[in-house]
This record gives sequence, structure tokens and C-alpha cells, in this order.
Amino acid sequence: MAETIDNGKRQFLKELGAGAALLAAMPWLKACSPEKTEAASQARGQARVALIGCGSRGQYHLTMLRDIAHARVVALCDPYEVNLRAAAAMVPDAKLFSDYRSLLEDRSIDGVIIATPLGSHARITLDALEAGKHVFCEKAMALTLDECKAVYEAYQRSPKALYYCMQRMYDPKYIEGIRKIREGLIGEVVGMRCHWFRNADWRRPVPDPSLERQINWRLYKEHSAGLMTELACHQLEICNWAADKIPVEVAGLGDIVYWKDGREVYDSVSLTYRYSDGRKITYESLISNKYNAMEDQILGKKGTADLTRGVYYLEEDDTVSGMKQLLAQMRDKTFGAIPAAGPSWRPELRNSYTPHPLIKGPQSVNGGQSMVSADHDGSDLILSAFCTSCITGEKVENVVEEAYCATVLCLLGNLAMDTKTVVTFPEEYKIPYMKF
Amino acid sequence: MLTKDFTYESESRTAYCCAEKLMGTRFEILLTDIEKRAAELLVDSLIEHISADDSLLNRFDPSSEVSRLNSALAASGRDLAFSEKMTKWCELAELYRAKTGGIFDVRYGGGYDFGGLAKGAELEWASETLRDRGIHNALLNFGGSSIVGLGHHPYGDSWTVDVPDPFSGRTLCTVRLCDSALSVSGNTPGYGGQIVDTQSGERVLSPRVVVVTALNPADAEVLSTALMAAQCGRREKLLAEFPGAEAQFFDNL
Ligand SMILES: NC(=O)c1ccc[n+]([C@@H]2O[C@H](COP(=O)([O-])OP(=O)(O)OC[C@H]3O[C@@H](n4cnc5c(N)ncnc54)[C@H](O)[C@@H]3O)[C@@H](O)[C@H]2O)c1
Repeated sequence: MAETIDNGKRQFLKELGAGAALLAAMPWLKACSPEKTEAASQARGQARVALIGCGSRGQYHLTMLRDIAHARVVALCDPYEVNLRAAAAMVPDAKLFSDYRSLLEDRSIDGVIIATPLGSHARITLDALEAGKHVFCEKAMALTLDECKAVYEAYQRSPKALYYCMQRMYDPKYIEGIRKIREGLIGEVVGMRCHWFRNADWRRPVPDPSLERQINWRLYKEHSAGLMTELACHQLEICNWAADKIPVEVAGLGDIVYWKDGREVYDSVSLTYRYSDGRKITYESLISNKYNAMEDQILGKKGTADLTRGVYYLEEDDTVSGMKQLLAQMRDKTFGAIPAAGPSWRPELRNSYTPHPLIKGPQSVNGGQSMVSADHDGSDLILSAFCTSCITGEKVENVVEEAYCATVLCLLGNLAMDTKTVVTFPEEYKIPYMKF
Repeated sequence: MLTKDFTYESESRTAYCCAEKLMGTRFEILLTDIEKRAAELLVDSLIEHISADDSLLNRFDPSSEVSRLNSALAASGRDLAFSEKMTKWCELAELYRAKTGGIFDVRYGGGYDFGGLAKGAELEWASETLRDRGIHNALLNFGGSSIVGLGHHPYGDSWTVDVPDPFSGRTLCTVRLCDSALSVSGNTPGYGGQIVDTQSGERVLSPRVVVVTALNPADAEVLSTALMAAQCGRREKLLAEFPGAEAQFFDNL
């Protein structure tokens, strides 16, 4: 299965090269074409990259980097000895650092991959760009609005590439889904409905109580902005992508409903983001019930795209035509009953809608239950594109802008919940990329 | 706008054409054992004919004859002079009104509405045209609710169609068509009320499906509409007026 998905993805990337229109709409995919990667590595060998933050996500990146031929991991950094050792076991030749600032002084490093807690993303990114490194940083962009702005501005001045691991931008089912939505597949986009449900406390085991805040950083505001930046960030990005706009305001309520264990961040959030034309994103996340799992639904006048599952549904679905089945029967020289569509109204029950695939061939679907990763979700492609940039020195288009927009929206969502007010998008955090 | 999608599979000598937005729905036709060029010409002429009638009868097109008649009726209570074609349609409608004892009436509610007749009548006309041209096996499908099977499937003794339950998607019944027609009328809470019982004046709102088969598609169409509207007690009498027709009722969906 994994094999076929990989083949499918390779095929998809090949076709990307041919799709000039697609590349114009999604320019960040330019660095992904196999020819480009090939050419880069033939000319200048491997990208020499370092990992800063060797926790679970960092180690996952290491496993992906193993399969990226044009990448070589030359250094690792983590102040937490346990994780540094674990990563070192995966890359025995790498130089080890406990302070990222010393690592940045190493001139043999082309680029750094930052997989530290959110609270340190901005500082390390700014320092790394300053030190002349290409940077791949985990989402979200930063813990505060001002940090986001600082990173965005530093990037405008920097000649270096900056990537954020917003992997949906590199996930074939999302790319195809958005492309088809823009072509009118589901009619006019009238709303978005996203949620992420889990039933887990979001905690990691702590060997010593003094390490609680360091290890369970997600639960504390000095390091984390909670569900919004950890989960919603990916999903809000997709909504903007489909709406081709940025919301003008947000309202929401956040609470600690179940996990009353001393954490500071909400374990339950419900928000409404509103675009200037009245369309809305309804967003919900709760981590004490997982029945609804994760979904990114784009709602159109004629249908619904469920991008998480890579399928779409039509409101008036005549596409499962019995007549088409007949044609197939003629081909196969078989005889069978075909469905009549019945009377021309359609049922209103959700499970009676027929799913249609957004992309050809097998695809991987992420149920959203893992705290670390989902296979084949685009993370590998984006990492590979970053390594290509480390070789070519080319910046990537739109990724920083998308990460900025999504992160700012997450933080504004938190502000709305914290203050129980409707928050209007503040002028000072607008950037030219945003359309309202 | 009318869009057409023609497919020909030379191996099986099968032609398939799908026209969108014809009589407010999708019209599909499948012809077996036919040359490509012949199929194309035939299908084009059928669609052209139906489309011409559609621009006569379409209530949602303000420039159609029916719309003009209806606005004149609304304004002055009087009929405008009918075109020759419209006269023919009205004669056909009158025939069915008489046959159903007034239950089927295109003139109910202050205007003309040929909705419960037009698709069936077009299928009937199309079937005759095909037979005249020596086509004996074909399946014609109007929006999934009016279907006629000429002859049979090349690998079967009929054309076999499953009628789904609109609520569950499960098959309500399976119908074998062999030189015969199927019409399905239905109602659900969400989409009810298009059919009115002309005797009582009440809208038919209960979730109900009627599946009718008859030798002739216009009969099937009219009968399914009339049976939807008719009270249970009148069903037998109505059916008796259409020899060879059969109906299945699904009243408690
Ligand atoms: N894109 C995705 O789908 C995805 C999935 C999971 C996690 N993440 C992101 O990855 C990041 C890391 O998450 P995680 O689950 O691996 O956390 P983790 O706690 O497992 O790992 C973080 C590591 O960073 C180290 N660290 C902290 N400060 C550091 C510093 N100044 N320099 C170097 N190392 C430092 C910690 O000691 C720890 O080993 C987070 O930003 C998270 O949001 C992204």
C-alpha cells in the first residue's frame, strides 16, 4: 500500500511539472519537481542540514530525511540529553550541540530544521536567518503576534529560504482538491467547517517533576498557544486557501472542560471566523471525545469537499449514473441491474451521499489521532523541497505568507476566546499578501 | 444551457449520450449495435426535437409559450391563442385528464404545467422514432425517474433497473423493462409538495413513492403522477384505465 502511494505521489509530482497553471496558483510546488531535485543534487551534491529540537517530531523528520537522497544530516541540537541521544543514535555521524547558537556558528551547515516547542520558534528562526542559514521551521510560526511580524519582516530582508511545515500545502489530495474547487467542482464556496477531535490528555510522561513544563510544553502558555496553533493552524490555512481570502473577524469560546490537571491552555475551543463577504469558518476542537476525528470540509453550493479524506460529495448527485454502469457492462460483456436515480429529489441524510475521489489511485488518510505525524501527508515532500532550496539557494514562494496568515488567525482566535470579544483583524498585522 | 456528451465504444458498438439541462434534468440514451456516425446523427436529432419542445413548455423560461400563456392568464384570466404545437400538447393533456377522471390536469392552479407529462411524451416520441429507424434495443432515461427500455440488454433478456429508497438508498424494487417504460414519482418531507391532489386541492406531503410500469412512457408518467395524488380508494379505478400498467406503492418510507 505504502509503495503504491509513493508511486502515486511520484506520478503526481511528474504531472506537476506539466501543470503550468497549477504552479502559477501554487508556486511553492516549483521546488518539488523530481527534475529540479535531480538537477540540484547533481550540480551541488547534498544539502547539509541540522536538526534543532530532537523530540518526537524532530526524530520523525530524521526518519524522513533518511529517504531524501539529496539531504545529509550533519548536526543535532537539543538541551535535553535524553532526546539528543535518541536522535544521535539515528544519525551517528552528526555533530552534537546543546545550544543552538553554537550550532549556528558552524559554517558547514546549509540549513536548519527547527522542531522545538512553539515558544522558541521565532527566536531560533530569526537567529538562524541572521546566521545565514536556510530555515525549515515547524508550524506554527510564533507564539505571539509581534513575533510573527518580526519573523515576517526579517524574512523580507533575508536572502535565505524559509519554510514552514504546513504540510497540507504539499499533500496531493489537498492540492488537487483546492485546484478542483477553484475550477468549480463544488460550485461557489459558501462556507467551511473544520474540526479536530481527540480523546487524549496531550501529555507526555515526565521522568522528573522539575521537567514538567519543559516536556509538557503544549499545556503551558509560556511555550504554547494550545489547540489553535497545534491543530487549527493547518486547517485555517486550508480554509483561506479555498476562500482565497482572509477572515476579517473572529469570535469564540474556549474552556478547560475535562483535563483539569493544572494546564493553562483550553482543551475545548469553538470559534467562528467570518470573511468580509459573510462566509464563515466554523471551527471546533475538543480533546476528550474523538468520535468526529478530524475533518476539513469546504462547503460549496453544489457540493462538499472533504479534503481530509480526499473525497467530495455532490448535492445533486447524478454522476453515479446507472447508464455509465451499463456502458461498463457492455465492455465486460456482462448483464446486471442498474440503479435508477429514482424521483428527482435527493435524500437529506449525510450517509446517503456518495463519495467521489479527489485524486486518482490510492491515498493516505490521516485520522488526526497521532501527536507526531501521519504518513504521506506532505511532510516528506516539504522537507525534500527545503533540502532542494538548501542546494539551490532559491527561496520558496508563499509558504511564509501562508504560515503567517494561519498563525496570526490562530492567535487572534485565542485573543477572542481569552477576552470573550469579537476580534477584528488588526491593521498592524496585515501584510500585502492578504486579501480581505 | 444545454450540454451534450457523446461517447462511442467501437468494441461493443455502443453509443451513449448524456444531455444536461433538458426538460430541467438530465437526458441519457444508450444505443447498442450501431455505427458511430448513425448514432451521432440520431441522437442529435432526438435531442434537438426535445430541446425545441422544452423551449415551448419550460415554465422557468419567461419567453416560453407556456410562460407567456401563464402570465396572460394571471393578468387577464384569458388564454392567448395557441400555437399549433401547443394545441397538440393540450389535446394530449386533455386525453389524459379525461382518462384519469380529472386527477391528472396540466391546468390545475391557475396556469399550465406539463411537468407530469412532457418527459413521458418525449420518451414515447423518441421510442417511436428509434423503432422507425430500425433500432430495436436501447435504453432512454430522463432524470432517473422516467425510463424506457426498448428490446433488451445485449447480454440479458431485458433492461433491469433498481429503484432506490430515497431515504436509505436501499433498493425498493427491481423493474425489468422490455419494450416497456418506468416512471417513479415520489415525495419526501424535504422535497414534498410538488404534486397536488386536484380533487381535494391538497398537496401530497406524506413520504411516499409510486413506481409505475406501462407499455408506453407517457402513460407511465401520467399514471405515476396521478397515483401519487390520488387517495388510496381511487387507485384501483385509475389503474383499470391503463391496461397493462402496473403500480407498486411504498407508502410508509
Ligand atoms: N507539522 C505537524 O504536523 C507537526 C506534528 C507534530 C509536532 N509539530 C510541531 O513540532 C514542534 C515540536 O513538537 P514535538 O511534539 O516534537 O515536541 P517535543 O517536546 O517532543 O520535542 C521538542 C524538543 O525540542 C527541544 N528543545 C526545546 N527548546 C530547545 C532549544 N532552545 N533548542 C533546541 N532544542 C530545544 C526539547 O528539549 C525537545 O526535545 C512543535 O512546534 C509542534 O507544533 C508539528
